[in-house]
Amino acid sequence: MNGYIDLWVNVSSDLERIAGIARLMGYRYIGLEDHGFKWKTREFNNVKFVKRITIEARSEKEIREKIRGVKVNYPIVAVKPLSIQVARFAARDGRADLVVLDKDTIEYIDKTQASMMKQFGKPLEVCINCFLKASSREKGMIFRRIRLFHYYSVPIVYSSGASRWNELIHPKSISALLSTLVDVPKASIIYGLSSIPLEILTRNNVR
Amino acid sequence: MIQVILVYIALIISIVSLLIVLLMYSLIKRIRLQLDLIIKKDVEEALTKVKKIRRRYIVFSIISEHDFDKRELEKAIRKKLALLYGIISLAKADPQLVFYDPRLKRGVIRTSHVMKDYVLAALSIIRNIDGKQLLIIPIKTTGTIKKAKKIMYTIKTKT
Repeated sequence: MNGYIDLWVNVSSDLERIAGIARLMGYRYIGLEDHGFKWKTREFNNVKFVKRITIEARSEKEIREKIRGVKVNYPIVAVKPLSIQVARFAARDGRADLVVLDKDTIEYIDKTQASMMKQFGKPLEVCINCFLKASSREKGMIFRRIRLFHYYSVPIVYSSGASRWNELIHPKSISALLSTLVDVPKASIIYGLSSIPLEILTRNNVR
Repeated sequence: MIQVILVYIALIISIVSLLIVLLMYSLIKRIRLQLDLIIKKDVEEALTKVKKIRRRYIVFSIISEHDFDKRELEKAIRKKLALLYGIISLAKADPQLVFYDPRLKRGVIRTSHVMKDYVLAALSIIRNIDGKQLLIIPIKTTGTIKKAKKIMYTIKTKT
């Protein structure tokens, strides 16, 4: 077994500690948000850190500029769309690996987006800490989006979005949390924590 | 002569058919009665039978620089569970910290088998207790306390 994969951790220091905790939780790969690291991938305590970038954009022109040449330095490219045009562009574009669903992007992730992402096989990234930190109304909106994307059979990747060491979440807890809160089957959550992220890493020659 | 024989045959056939009808009627009646009894029994069972609650023991490990005592840990778990799922779920789950080793920073939580996932989810969102940062990692879920204690002391989970 290859273990679990957390594609979004947003810490800049104390990587060895994070690796130790992640290893304890059963993670093998961690997608680390770029904080000026000079490496693309690095291994601590048998946990491989993979550099990732999250691109925020409001217009198609902006996303086109920001995404140009980015794949050379970052194995994982996620897009945080702040407009419908950017969301549609991210669903179509081959350089974007993930489309992030959080409180800032819920408005732009709709039915059309779901069918487009299904058509292009683009996974949606659900950040668990973003979900927990959101207000009750936003939580409800995220809940509906996750259900919708499940209904459309769009691949979903679950990541912690941790910005501190104690924000990492055990995969078992993620599956328990989502199966009770969002009524998503446990098997599909485990799939979104292991197989789908592994496909992304394999596609980007990280493994 | 032939006419008399034919009349007799017709009479016998009619008597036999009448007998068959009567037999079938009694048979169907008996089957219906038995079916009614089975259905009634099932309904009664479904109405009266309450599923037995089985216990589950969650072995967990704490990662923190600070020390915590059993009471404050249990209080934090209950508080988070109530915050996440409400008081009714808290009553159903009734998580009890049955065992905690402060030296190893590991413990065992007892809950019901139906609410196991709720407790696991609540454990993941405890980030600090009275300002002291911590992370709770569920190691294993078992059905007996004996096995839970064995796991607690044998499993290697050093960071």
